[in-house]
Amino acid sequence: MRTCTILILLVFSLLTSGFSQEKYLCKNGHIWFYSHTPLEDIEAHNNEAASFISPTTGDLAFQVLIKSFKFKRALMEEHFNENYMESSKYPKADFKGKITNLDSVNFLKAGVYKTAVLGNLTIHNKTNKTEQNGTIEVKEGKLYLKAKFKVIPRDYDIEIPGTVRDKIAKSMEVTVDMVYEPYKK
Amino acid sequence: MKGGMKKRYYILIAFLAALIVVGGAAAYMYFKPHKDFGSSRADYILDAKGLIQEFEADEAQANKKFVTGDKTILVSGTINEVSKSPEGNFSVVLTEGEMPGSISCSLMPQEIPRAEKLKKGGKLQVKGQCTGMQELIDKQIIMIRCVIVQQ
Repeated sequence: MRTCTILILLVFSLLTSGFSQEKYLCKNGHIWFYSHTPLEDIEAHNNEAASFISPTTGDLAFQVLIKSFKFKRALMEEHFNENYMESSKYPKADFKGKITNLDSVNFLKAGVYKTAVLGNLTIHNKTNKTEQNGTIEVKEGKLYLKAKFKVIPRDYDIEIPGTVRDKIAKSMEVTVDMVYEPYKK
Repeated sequence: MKGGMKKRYYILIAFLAALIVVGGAAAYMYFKPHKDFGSSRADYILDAKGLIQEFEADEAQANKKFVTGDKTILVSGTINEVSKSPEGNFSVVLTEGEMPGSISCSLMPQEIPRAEKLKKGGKLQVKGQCTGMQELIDKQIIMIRCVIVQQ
């Protein structure tokens, strides 16, 4: 009888621990940035962003390769990689943080939830603490995360030479658009 | 025509010629198209296993070899996953047996009709640009602007 109870408890704890390890993964998320300047709009898209959300802990992380950002003009892409982001030296950018209002997101119930996130954003080998808002939509077992925020190149020691400084906006608008699928270990 | 006027005339011609050359070069640079990975010769030909192993062994070295200079990489492997983005573009994940790690290949929009026919388990050979390795979820080598060479 006793061993039976222990066994049941063991199985139960295994089940719940297995459940708590559940993560939502996204391997080809869309992250893009945009800036408007009098001369021309600058826009680049990355469709290969990796990200995960852990509903139990609220952990949220993103990673992108700088080289994966695609521009309309080859020359702009070249300048972005070589002059500003120095992508051969610093090939990745990432964000690691937590959802701060985890209680107000019900991952089991369909709906759109306002989400606040706090964490560290690393670009160009420089890390800044950042707090952003977005939404998580729960729909048919998948999560859809959307967020829009500003990034100021100077905050990340990205130097823009004087000759083109006026052509590049002081801040970039970054849009995050991810679709996550559940993954159980 | 007097000598002075003639001289001024030549200066003007030279100036205009220089302007055209500089302007033309600038316009050429500015409107320079993206590299066409489909028609360019492969700098490296390898299978999924080989590419994953090179990145696993020494990421910095692999970046220098495959990523820097927008080299054309021809890679072949087994299709593990085919996915379509909300914009309608295809991404294919290539793996090698039980080996951990994968290669994510984002296909060019013109490949949509051919990509519709791709199936898990099939063989695929693509040519494109390698942009490095992501390790947030698992080791994921990224290839973009890919065209299908053989399926």
